[in-house]
Amino acid sequence: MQVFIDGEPFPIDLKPGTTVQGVVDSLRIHTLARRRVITSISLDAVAVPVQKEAPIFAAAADTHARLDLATADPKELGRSVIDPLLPFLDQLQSAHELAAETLHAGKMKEFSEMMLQCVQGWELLISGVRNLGALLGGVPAVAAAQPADLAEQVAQLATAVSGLKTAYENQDPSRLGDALEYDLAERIPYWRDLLSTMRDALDA
Amino acid sequence: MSATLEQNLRQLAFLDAELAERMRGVSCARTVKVVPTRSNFPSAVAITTDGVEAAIHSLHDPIKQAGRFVDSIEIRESVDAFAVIGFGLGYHVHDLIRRLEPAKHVLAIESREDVFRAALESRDLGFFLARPNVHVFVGTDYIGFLDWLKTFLNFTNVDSLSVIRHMESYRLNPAFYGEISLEMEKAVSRRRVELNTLVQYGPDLETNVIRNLPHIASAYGVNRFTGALQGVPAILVGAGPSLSAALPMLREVQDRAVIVVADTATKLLLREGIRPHFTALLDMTDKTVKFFKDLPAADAPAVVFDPDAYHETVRDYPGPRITFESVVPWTRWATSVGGEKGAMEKGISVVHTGYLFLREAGADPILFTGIDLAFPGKTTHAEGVVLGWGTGEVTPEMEHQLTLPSVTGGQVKSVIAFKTFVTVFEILVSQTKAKVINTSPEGALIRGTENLPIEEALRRYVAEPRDVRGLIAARMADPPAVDWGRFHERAGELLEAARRIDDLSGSALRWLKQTARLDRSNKVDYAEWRRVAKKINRNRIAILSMPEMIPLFQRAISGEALEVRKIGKAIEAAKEGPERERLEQERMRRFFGAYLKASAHVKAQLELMLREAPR
Repeated sequence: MQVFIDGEPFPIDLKPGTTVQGVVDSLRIHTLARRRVITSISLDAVAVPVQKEAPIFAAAADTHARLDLATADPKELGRSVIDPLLPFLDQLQSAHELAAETLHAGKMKEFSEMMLQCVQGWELLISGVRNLGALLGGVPAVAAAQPADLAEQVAQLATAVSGLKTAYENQDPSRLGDALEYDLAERIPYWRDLLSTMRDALDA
Repeated sequence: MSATLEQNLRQLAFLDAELAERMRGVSCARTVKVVPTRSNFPSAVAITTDGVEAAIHSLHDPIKQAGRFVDSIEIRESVDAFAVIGFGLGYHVHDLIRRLEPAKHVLAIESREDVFRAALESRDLGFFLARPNVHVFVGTDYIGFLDWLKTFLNFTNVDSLSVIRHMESYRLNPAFYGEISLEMEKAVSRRRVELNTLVQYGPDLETNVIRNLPHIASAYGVNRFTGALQGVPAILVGAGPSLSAALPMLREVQDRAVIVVADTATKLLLREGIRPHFTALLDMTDKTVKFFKDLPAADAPAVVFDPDAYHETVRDYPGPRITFESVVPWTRWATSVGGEKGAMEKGISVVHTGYLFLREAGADPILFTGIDLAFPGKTTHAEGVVLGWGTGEVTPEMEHQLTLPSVTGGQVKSVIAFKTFVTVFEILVSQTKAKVINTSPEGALIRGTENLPIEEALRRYVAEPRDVRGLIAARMADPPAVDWGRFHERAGELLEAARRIDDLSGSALRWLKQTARLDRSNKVDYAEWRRVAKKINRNRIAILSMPEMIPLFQRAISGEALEVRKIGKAIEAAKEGPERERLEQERMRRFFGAYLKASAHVKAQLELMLREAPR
């Protein structure tokens, strides 16, 4: 199996019986040592998940022709995710208030559009945080900045967003209002603080 | 039972004893969950009609939510009443009430008994139950709701109503709430139309009822027939298209049921060899003259006439007359000389009048024939009836066309007036013990009636011969006796009172003109103004102190009365100063102007009536 990192061939000595997982793990150490993180992996031109234990990695390395890795500077990567999310969180507070007011005023058409934007925003945040965790989890500074219950917090946020969507489907105005004004709005400061901390950790 | 519930029920009993009693027996334990919130005010969750759990108020802060909701509502000073669709636990109603003056009416409609029960159990509802001018309806009985709404409008003189939809409650029963919201908006505009009609036609109605006074006094009263036809089947005949096919069958059964026919179809039935027992007359215009033109006295059924019916038609009717005391005060005056006639509701069409009479008489069952209230085909009426309106053909140019639910299950072409007739029938039928059968094959559906083809209805309910004419004759054996001397004397007193009102109004208007030229900032003028103002006020009190006359004038002055009310509201809102003085002058001018006009009209009609009345 040939290995390419950022398009450049990378010589690697493959012992018989080495799995793709074993190759990827050693490449992770190599890239981290060079202060870079793996952002994408493709095996024989097919993209595979970046997370550590993808099932396809269990195959023997010599059964595949080519492994391509793309890497990035973790600071740049982190900033590219976090930088748009911080101002978004600032706007989200007022977006929630406006949506709730619009809901209470019975302007359902305008409310639907606003709600959609809020939901999309939150879903962007959730996927951004999850990706950051997957991509930068190995960066010591970032790992140190993450709270131990991050996964739990993300899950709770996802549940709250799901609750908002369910309230919308069920046409439950009170629950819609509560989700916007309380269940989600109260989480904004937490996520703002967390993302700021992670950004600071990346800059350090 | 908790103290909160007990107190709420006690207060509710003052407002609506029947509702309080009903709520005692309601449980909300399985369908409504009252939940605590972090604001310490309880909220509630209910199961919707589609089986989903929905919150009725915020599960965090229902008070704040209610405030925001009411903030978004436009509360106009000019609106007399606010109807809140969905009471829930009452937070939004409470917030609304605290922003309204006590004189404003607040109506609360809650479709779910269990939700209202939850409110009674969980919160002190004194803000609502102990407030003046509140009205509550609980449940989903649509006809009951219409009746409740009608009572509210009739007893409160409200002419503007703002409907406020509580979204969360609406969600629990959108079909019912949608229907009643629409109905409330229409009811108020219908009422405005009725008032406008009264304004427009008030003088004509007064002309008719005054000129009819001798006939009202000398007519049989409906009270002669109370219960007279107990258990006797009745056929109420309208002039709709389906009557044509029913005629041969009616001919066969005419000795087995009492037949009441609409005015326009009377001559048709007689030509077809059917002798109806009664006909009904309601219309106030001269088009009714042709309905009974050339009707031989021997063939004329007894006419049940509305006191407001066109006076020449009533005068010239060749057969016996029957009438009733309605809400019109002149009819009660007539009983003081002709004896009581019995109270009956005014119908809004001849078939309604006929129905009300049959109900009073105890007829059972009541079969509707030719009461299509729709146009399933190309014609508007049965062939051969005397047309009171239209050309007999359904045309695209006919105004106010719409479709109504049909007895066939689909929709049928109709007009907006018929829709109102259907609604009124539904209310009346719901209040009738007798069975009511609608034999229209393709006409408008009237809920509460049984739909049967006419052959089947007659076979089932009109099978045995009866001496209906004998029953009726027995009740009409002793015609009412009128002391015509006393009639003239009493009417003369009315005429004298009308002349006095004329004088009082005329002089007050002259004085008002005088005072308009005075400068109240000038001492001398101000003293003169005060002197004249006292005289004007005395005249006003003199008019209002004629207890017999004031009710008699109400319809004649109804147009100006609306204006006087509007000016009164403007005066309340105005600060002390020239504008307020101007409005007060204007109100007085309108008041006396209305009575001057009315007294002239009443005088003229009384004089004409007295010339025609027997001695």
